[in-house]
Amino acid sequence: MAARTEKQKEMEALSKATHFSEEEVQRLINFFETVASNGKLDRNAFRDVLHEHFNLTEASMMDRLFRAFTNSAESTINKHDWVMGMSLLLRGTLDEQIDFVYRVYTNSAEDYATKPISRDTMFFLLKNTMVKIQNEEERDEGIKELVDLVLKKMDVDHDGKLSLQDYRESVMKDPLLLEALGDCLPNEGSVRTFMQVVMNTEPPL
Amino acid sequence: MGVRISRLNTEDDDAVEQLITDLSALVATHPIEAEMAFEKPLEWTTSITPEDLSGMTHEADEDRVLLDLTQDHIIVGSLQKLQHVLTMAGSKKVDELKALMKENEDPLANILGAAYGGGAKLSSIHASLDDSLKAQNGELVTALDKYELDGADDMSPVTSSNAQQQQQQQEDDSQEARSVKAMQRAEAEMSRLRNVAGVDDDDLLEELDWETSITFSNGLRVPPWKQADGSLGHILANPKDGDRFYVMAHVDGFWEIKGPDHATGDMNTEQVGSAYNSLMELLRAKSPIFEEGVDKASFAPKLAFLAEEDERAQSGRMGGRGQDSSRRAYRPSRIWLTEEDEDSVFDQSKETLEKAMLVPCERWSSFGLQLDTPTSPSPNKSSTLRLMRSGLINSRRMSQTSSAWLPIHSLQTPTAAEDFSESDESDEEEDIEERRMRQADLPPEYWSIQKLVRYLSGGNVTATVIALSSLRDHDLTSEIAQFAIRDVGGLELLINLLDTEEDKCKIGALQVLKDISLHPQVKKAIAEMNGMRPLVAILESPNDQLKCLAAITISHCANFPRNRRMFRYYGGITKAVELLRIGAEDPSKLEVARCGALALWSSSSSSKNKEHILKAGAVPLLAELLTKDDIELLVPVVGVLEECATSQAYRDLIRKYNLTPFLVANLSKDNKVLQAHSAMAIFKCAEDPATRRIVRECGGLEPLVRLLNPAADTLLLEGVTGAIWKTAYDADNIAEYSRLKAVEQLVALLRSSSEAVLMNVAGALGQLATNTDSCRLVRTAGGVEPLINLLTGTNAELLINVTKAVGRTAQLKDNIDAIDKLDGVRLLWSLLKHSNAEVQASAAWAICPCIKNARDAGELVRSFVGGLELVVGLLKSSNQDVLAGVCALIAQIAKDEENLAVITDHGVVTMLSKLVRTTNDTLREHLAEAIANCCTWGNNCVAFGTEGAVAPLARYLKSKSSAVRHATAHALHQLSRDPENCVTMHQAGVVRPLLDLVGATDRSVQDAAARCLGNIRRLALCNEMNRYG
Repeated sequence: MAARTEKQKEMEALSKATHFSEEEVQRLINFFETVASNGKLDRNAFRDVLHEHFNLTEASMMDRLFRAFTNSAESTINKHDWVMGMSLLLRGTLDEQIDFVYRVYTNSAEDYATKPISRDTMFFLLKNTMVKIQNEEERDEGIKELVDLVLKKMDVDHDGKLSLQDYRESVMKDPLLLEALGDCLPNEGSVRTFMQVVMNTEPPL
Repeated sequence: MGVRISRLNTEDDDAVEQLITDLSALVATHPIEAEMAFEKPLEWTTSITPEDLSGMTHEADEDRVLLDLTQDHIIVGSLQKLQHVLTMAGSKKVDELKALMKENEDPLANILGAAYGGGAKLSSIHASLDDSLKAQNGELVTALDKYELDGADDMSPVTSSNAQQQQQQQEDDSQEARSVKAMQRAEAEMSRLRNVAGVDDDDLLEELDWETSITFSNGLRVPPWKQADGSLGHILANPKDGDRFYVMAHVDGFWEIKGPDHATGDMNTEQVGSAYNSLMELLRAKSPIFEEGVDKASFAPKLAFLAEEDERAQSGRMGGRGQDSSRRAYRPSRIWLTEEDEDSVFDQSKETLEKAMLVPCERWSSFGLQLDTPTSPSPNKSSTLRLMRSGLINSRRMSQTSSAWLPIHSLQTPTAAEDFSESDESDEEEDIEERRMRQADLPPEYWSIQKLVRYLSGGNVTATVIALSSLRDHDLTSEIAQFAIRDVGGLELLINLLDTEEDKCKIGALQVLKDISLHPQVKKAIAEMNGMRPLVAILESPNDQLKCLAAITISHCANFPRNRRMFRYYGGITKAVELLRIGAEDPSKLEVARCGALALWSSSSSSKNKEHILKAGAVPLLAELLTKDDIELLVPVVGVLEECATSQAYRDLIRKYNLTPFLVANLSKDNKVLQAHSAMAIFKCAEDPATRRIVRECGGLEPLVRLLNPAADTLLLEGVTGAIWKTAYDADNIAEYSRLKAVEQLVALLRSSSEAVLMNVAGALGQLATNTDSCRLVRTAGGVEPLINLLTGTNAELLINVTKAVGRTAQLKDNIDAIDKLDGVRLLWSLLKHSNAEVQASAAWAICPCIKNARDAGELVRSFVGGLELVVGLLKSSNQDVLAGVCALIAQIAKDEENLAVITDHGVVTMLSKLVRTTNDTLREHLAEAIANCCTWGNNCVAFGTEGAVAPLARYLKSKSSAVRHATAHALHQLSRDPENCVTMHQAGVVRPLLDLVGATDRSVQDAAARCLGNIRRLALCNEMNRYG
């Protein structure tokens, strides 16, 4: 009996801290338990989930998402992290998502607010965007120009780097720029489908 | 590369760089193999820092290390990681690779395992190993092997199987190289020849183009399986003097082919006729006009190259005759210059030619063709669709040739006759002219916009979003922006983006499209690219922002007629009406409704669309939206209503939903545009008598008069004056308007420069002048002079209203002088000659009161030379209204004896008699009047009888119109002075009705009827007396 109440308390707490109802939290945890081993989700399994349900295929981006979920340098995600992360990913408000995506881009943990995104990081993140240009030199040129474009658009304080404030201000002005350095959030369609799957998941036996 | 790796000379920087390039190519083309982990990782001392790797200094795949960087030692475990490291190293990469080679003796052994070491050729080793190892490393070996032959040093022992392989590959490569070269030559020739293809008189061909605009990565225009046997592409040519034919461009030359098979849609490449070395030669052989044109090649830069080109071919054929002499032979029209002059002039022409070649030919843009940019499919967008869509650009020509590349959508291209014929819509699709700036004048914005557009074709979703967002920093509504975007094929790219799954891309693309679609050329181009289809589809998106953006873009495009039709065809109207419903039901979503209304408003200028909008149930929703307070919303809603109110069905619905009070209320709102459209709507609705009353009842007349400010906007004035005019058909309104002193304001507007306004003002004055006070006011407010001035205009509608106004004004005796002083009557009289029958009629009606009330009417009429003859001549007209007016006029003229004599001479009696059998009451009334007045002269009385005019008049007495009966009484009275007529009348049975008329209220009618009866009776008495003594 006591264990149940504790679990309920946990549900309540999680539900309050996220945008999910208690029922949804329960279902999410069910889902988590079907894909995790020993109550922990490791990098590969996480990548599988991202790939299968949200069509996110970039390896480096998935790694960064993993880091953002765990919020530290740990190598697995526990169910608490999972639910919190999903809340941001699926139903985050613009404000929350700005912070979240910034964390993903800077691949950092607690100190994300102070870390600026440098040109090189941007170059790396945008590396695979010019898929159709075969010539490597042209491609690099293109990516460098793309980086310049991003800085021109988003570097409000003109210091050659993208700080959190720069980023936030620019996204507020033009919400399309939220994922300007690469897709890391699922699109509306896959969010809907995923929630359907989740809501139909029973706890594993 | 395998061999080269083992034997690499590390001092040779070029070789090292070549290796690095090959390595990246390998990784790009064989990504899976590149990720396979080495048997044993490569390690070396490095100068790479963690920053270079952006902090990713350690990566592992299960238990195999792929990358590890510590202080100055690096471990790399796969080709992909190696390539990554080298790229991130930037300028240090050559040194890194050297270090790698120095510290790893046999890299191949590391990569593939010990068995592959030793420096022998990979493939030979590989062939000799046993199967398990083969399977494991097979692909990697093939990948590495591919680059082996590029190396300068290939000193390994060549076995016979290798030799064959080598040869085969060499052949393949060189075959491809040859094809590519040949294609480049062919493309160059095509682009030059296209300069002389087109619809101008000085063009040598009607059409010349590639059959498809799809090019593959090597530049060829046929699929790879066809490239193998040397085909480069298919060309479509249409000479001025023959039918269209198709040409095969091939490594070995050009020849005609059978062309597309209409049944299957495939291209039949069977050769027809002989092969030629160049396209130009083939064209010369096929088209005499072309050949002639080329021979005549004068100095025009456009054609100079043809002569040049031809010369090259000629000199080739002639076996290298001196170049000078060949030049001279083909320039007969040129003055004989010295060799030096010729040279420099020739160079000049080449220069201008080159410059001319660099700028896309102006006519391309009006055809809506795009520059050929390689369009290889993008993984994120529906690739087949894009391939097909680029084929669609040629679809106008291809629609007759069912090429294999025809997209599904063009098969759906609407041909349904009913939906597509717009016989009631004038074709506004003339060639929209463009002004172009010379290349040198193009501002930097042009180029920066084009650079951004290139990202749309070259990048993935992220790059696209960044580019679209940056595009919006430019002023996209400017002309330069839309030129820039269109010239580089951006419009097609943007429309393709509308089909993707990514909402971000769609939103970004729509934000750009919305602004550039303000330009007419873009609207036309969008129509040609079938842009309405994706736009209409987006109207159903769950995302509100998308719906709004799509609707606004549609509203811009729908100015162009074809877009309106496509909008209807794709079911856009129902979807837009749905947007109205969303707004009507949910007050927080009014913006959605506003955008829907904008789209409907713009598309409603086509009458078929108006019908569909009605059928879709838009009016109740519009009614609901009219009640909202939001002015931005009201403008398009009223706009739709106004546009559609030309149809009776709409007006009925508007009355049914009682929308008029809202329209009236809008007149008082503080927005000029809203006021203007509301006034126009009222103008149109006031065609119906009921509405006229309603407008008064909800207090609409006063705001209308208040808005009669000459300084106001023309559209507003047009609407207001029109509304006043139509509502003034209601008698009560006229009284009200007098009270409101509308006349003075209207008179002030007679100086307006807009014909529409003038027309309405004249109409209004004409109506209001039926009220005596207002009539006087017209003169005192100085309205007579401007009105008369307008009589010299040419606009028929305007003239009708003005003449009516003048006529009404002339009802008042005091006004006649004013009119006459300004020569008004003469001007009216000359309008009797106008070509438009309505104008004639209106003038005739107007002249009547002028003469009736004139002081010396007879003299006045006589002063018009040929005027009487003109009037009688008009009795030949077939227009009933004209006839009635002329009869009324004659009735007035005939009051003067002298004039009556003149018109009798002109044969007025016969003409009038011919008309007697009419059943038109208006005509009857005035005809009877005219006859009555004409009888006073001489023999006319008798003449009417002989012409047989009397008996039909009897029927007039049965008419329902009392005016007719009264006039007939007068006529019969006059006619009865002749005994013969009495007999006829009596036989026709006039006595009974005349008896009734004796009791009429009008004194003169009583009189006339009585006297007529008296005359008949007297005759009867006489007869009796004669008979009986």
